[in-house]
Amino acid sequence: MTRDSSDDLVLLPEEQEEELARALRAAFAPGQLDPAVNEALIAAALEDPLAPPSDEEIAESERLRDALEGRGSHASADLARALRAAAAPPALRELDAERVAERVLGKRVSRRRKVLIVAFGTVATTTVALAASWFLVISPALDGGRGTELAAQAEALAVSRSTAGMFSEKFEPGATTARVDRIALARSRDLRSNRYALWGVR
Amino acid sequence: MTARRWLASALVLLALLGAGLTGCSKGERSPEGDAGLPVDPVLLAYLSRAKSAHHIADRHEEAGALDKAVEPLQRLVDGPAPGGGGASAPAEVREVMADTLARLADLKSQLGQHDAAAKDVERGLELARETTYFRGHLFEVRGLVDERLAKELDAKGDKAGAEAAKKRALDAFEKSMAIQADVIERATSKPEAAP
Repeated sequence: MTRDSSDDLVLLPEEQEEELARALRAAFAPGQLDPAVNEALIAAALEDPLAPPSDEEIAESERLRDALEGRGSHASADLARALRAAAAPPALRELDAERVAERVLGKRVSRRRKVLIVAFGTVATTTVALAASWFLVISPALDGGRGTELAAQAEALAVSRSTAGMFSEKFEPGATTARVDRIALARSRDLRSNRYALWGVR
Repeated sequence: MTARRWLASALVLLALLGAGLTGCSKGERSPEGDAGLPVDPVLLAYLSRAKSAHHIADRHEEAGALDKAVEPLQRLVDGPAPGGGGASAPAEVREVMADTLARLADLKSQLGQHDAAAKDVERGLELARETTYFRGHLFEVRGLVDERLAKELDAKGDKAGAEAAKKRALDAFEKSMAIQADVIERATSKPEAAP
C-alpha cells in the first residue's frame, strides 16, 4: 500500500484495487454460488427468525451498537459505514480533492487552483454519474438489458396480498388462532423466499 | 488502476445502485397504498405478534378466563401495525385485524359487553370490505352478538328489545350466508391464486 507524503490519502496497490473491483462487481452482479456456500446460506436462513436472541447475539449486538456510536470497533460497523458511504457519499473534502488531483496530474497544485479543482470535481462527478447512468442503466434498460433484469428481479419478490385464497371453507368458530398461525407461516416463507431472491440464490 | 479510474468506477457503481434502487421502489408501488409491497420483516413482526396474542388468549379461554383472553387481543388491535392498521394497511394486516376483532366481539359478547362487541364488529367490517370469508365471519359474529343480547333482554323482560335484537341477528346470519355463498361460487368458478 502506498501513501502520499505527509497526507492520509491512501491509494491501493494495483492488485488490491483489482481485488476491490472484483468484490464490487461480485456484490452488484453476483455469479454462480459454490454449492457448499449455498448450503450454508440455506442452513442460516432456516434458523427460526423469531427465536429469542442468545447471550452471544446480545453481546455482539451491544458491541455493534457501541462501534456504530464510535466506541470500539466491529466488522459489521465497518460494513455499515461502507454501505452508508456508497449510498450517500459525503462531498470530497477540499484536501482530498487536491490530493486526487495531484496524484492524477502528477504535480502539486497551487492554493488558488484548489477551489477550481473542487468546483470542477463537483461538475465532473455529476457529469460522470449522468453519463454512467445513461450508458449503463437507461440505455440498456431501453434495449431490454440490465434495467429490465433488475425490474424482473423486483417483480420476482413475494408481495403483500390478501390471504383469502388460503381458506377454502367458511371460518369455524374457535379457529382464529389456527388461521393466524397459517397466515404467519405462509408469509414467513415469503420473506425467506425474498431473502433468497435478494441474495441472488433463487 | 489510477485514482481517476478508481473514482470513475466508484461513480459508475453509485449511479448503478441509485438507478437500481429507484427502479425497485417505483416498480412495486400499487394503487392500494402499502398493499403490494414486498413481504418484509415488519409485516412478519406484526403477524408474529398476532400469533402470540391469539395463543395467549387461547390459554386464558381454555381456563375459562374470558376477560383475560380479551386483554392480549385488545392490545393487538390497538397497538402498532404496518400501514397504521387502517384501510391503507397491507392486506394481511387488515385481514388478521378483522379476524381478531371478530374474536374480540365474540368474547366481549359472552362477557355481556354487547355495545363494545358491536363496535368491534363494525370496526372489523371497515377493514374487511371485500367479499371474503373474513367479512362473512364478521356478519356471523354480529348475528351471535345480537342473539346473545336478545336472550339477555328477554330474561330482563324487555320483549320489544329482544325481538329487535333477534331480527338483527337473523339479518346478520342471512348476510353471512349470502357472503359465504358468493365466496364459494367465486372459488369454484375461478380457482384462487396460491397463497
